[in-house]
Amino acid sequence: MAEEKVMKDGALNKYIQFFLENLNWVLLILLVLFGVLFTDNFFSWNNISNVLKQVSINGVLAAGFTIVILADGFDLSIGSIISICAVVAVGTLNATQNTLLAVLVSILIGLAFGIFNGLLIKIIKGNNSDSFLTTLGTMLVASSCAYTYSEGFNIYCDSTVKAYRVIGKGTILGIPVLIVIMFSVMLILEFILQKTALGRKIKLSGSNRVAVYMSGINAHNIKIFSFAVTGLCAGIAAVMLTARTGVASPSTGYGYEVDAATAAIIGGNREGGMRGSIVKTLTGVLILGLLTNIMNIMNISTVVQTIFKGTILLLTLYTNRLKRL
Amino acid sequence: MVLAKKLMNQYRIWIICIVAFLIVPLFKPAFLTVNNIEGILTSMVTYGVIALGLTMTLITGEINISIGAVMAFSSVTFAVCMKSLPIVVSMVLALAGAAVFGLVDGYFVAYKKLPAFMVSVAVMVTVRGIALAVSGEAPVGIMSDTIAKIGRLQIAHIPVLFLFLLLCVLILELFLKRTQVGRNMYAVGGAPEVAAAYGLNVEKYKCLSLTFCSFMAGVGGILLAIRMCSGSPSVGEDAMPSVLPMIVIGGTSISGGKGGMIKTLSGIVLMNLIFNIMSMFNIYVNVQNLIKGGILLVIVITDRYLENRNKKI
Repeated sequence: MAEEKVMKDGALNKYIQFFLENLNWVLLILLVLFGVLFTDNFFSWNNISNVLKQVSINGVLAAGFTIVILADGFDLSIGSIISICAVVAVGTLNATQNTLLAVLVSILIGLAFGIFNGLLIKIIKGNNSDSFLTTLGTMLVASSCAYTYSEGFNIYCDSTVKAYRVIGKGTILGIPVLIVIMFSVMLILEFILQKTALGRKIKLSGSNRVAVYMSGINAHNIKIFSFAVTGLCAGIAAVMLTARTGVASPSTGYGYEVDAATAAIIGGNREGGMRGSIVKTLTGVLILGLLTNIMNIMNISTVVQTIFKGTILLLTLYTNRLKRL
Repeated sequence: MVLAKKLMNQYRIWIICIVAFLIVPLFKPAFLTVNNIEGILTSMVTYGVIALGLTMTLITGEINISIGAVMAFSSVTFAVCMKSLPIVVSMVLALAGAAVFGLVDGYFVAYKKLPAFMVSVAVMVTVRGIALAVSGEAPVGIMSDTIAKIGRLQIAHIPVLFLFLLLCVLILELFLKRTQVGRNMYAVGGAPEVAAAYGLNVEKYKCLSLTFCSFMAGVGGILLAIRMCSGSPSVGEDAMPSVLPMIVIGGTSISGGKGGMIKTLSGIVLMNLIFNIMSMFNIYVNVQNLIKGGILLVIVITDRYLENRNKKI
């Protein structure tokens, strides 16, 4: 009797555990199968590079977002940081005709806002729900800075500077630059997360505050680092976005934070979980991208797509909780 | 002297409001006109009732950011239903929908122990989509004279909608302070383990408060639709950063266990005074947003800093 009770009370059946643990891979394989069955040339280079180009910006953002989620935080301000970085970058580009300077400016502004977010969390010794509220404030501040800088107008890239647009539309060795950027960012962040002491500290400071304090790790500085990484990724994404479209407006980044969060969570990263990785985020990004692609082909309206994505987010939040830490 | 200091501390928000009423007319005489004051009273109503709902949620220690989306949903549902159904039925339908979303939120947060804000982000995205779908992505007009009259009805120059807000404040304050269920809300938010040990069903209270918050967001949506004679799916984008400072300035703590409806009312009055004064002085909208964001940051940081400064981790 006692053994039966322990079996039922404890963790779920180990097969269900395995299924939940790899739910993101299951969903990805299902979607790929669906794509192969219902569209021609799914595995053609054209199609693959199209899909990857579409998800590249979300991929960079979601990678940075994963770091924040694993460090027990939440960054709602990514969208507005993209807007301010975008308008200032394109403004600098038009004023100085220097691509490198524009890229640098965008990255620095993103980094500055990220460090600002991190410092706020350090001051209040906050947990994830506090970071939500502070980044909400930062979102308003960044958004109003973007509107003030651009005075409400769109800023168009100066068409004489070709080098900048190459980032968005060009290729390196046949692979589009956007995809190269996404994979480099993901590779670097995955290396930091899995192979360095810093990465271990990031995962630890999210999961068990007491143990981290006792071990002498300064959790608050780790959080500043994680928010700085997100800000940096937002700066990179702003460059990618404006290079691809050629225009920056104060509402450029609107709504990107929800997609980034959805991708990271659908991939299976749990807030404060030790098993998070950028590979999981990559699966989440691909799942989201393929889902949008397939729903577009099936002519499902954007509104229904949003409802569907919101429901999936809610369900994956629930299944993530059922997993072991 | 001690008594005066204590009174000053307890009623400081009301005192700030009165001071504002005395100082601002010196610079802008238009502030004290009947028109302007009616405008302030009317504009307090929509976000005011939502603030009351969110106060109850904050008292139990949770948070709900889907209030803007639920407000949009209920305003469009009310408007769409008004085309063919009587007023009361439309209201009931809109409020029922809002309550259902609150139940979903409450179920996942209270019973399944998911993080409150992430669940409400997911609910917000979904509900915003549903609101867009119901309204066909465009504002829906209400062609009813009764509604137009209710929106403009006044008793002795005071808008009836504002009196409705005061009635809600009164009823909810009595509920919180004088009934057992209301007082249990404070216990659940302030010390959940102690409340559970005492025998209170913590999950039920949290689920109840989250459902109530969405319900009040639904009420806010209906009030907005009445005022504007139309329902729009894109309202409420700035609901969260506008409503939260009202509650926290009033004295309710984000960590739960403290606060009250009359305190929230003082916050509602002050924040709406600030918004009105900002537009009186013709400040640009971006700068107004900057100020709103700044106020939100300052409030959240002060509240959490004072709460956490004695903790070591």
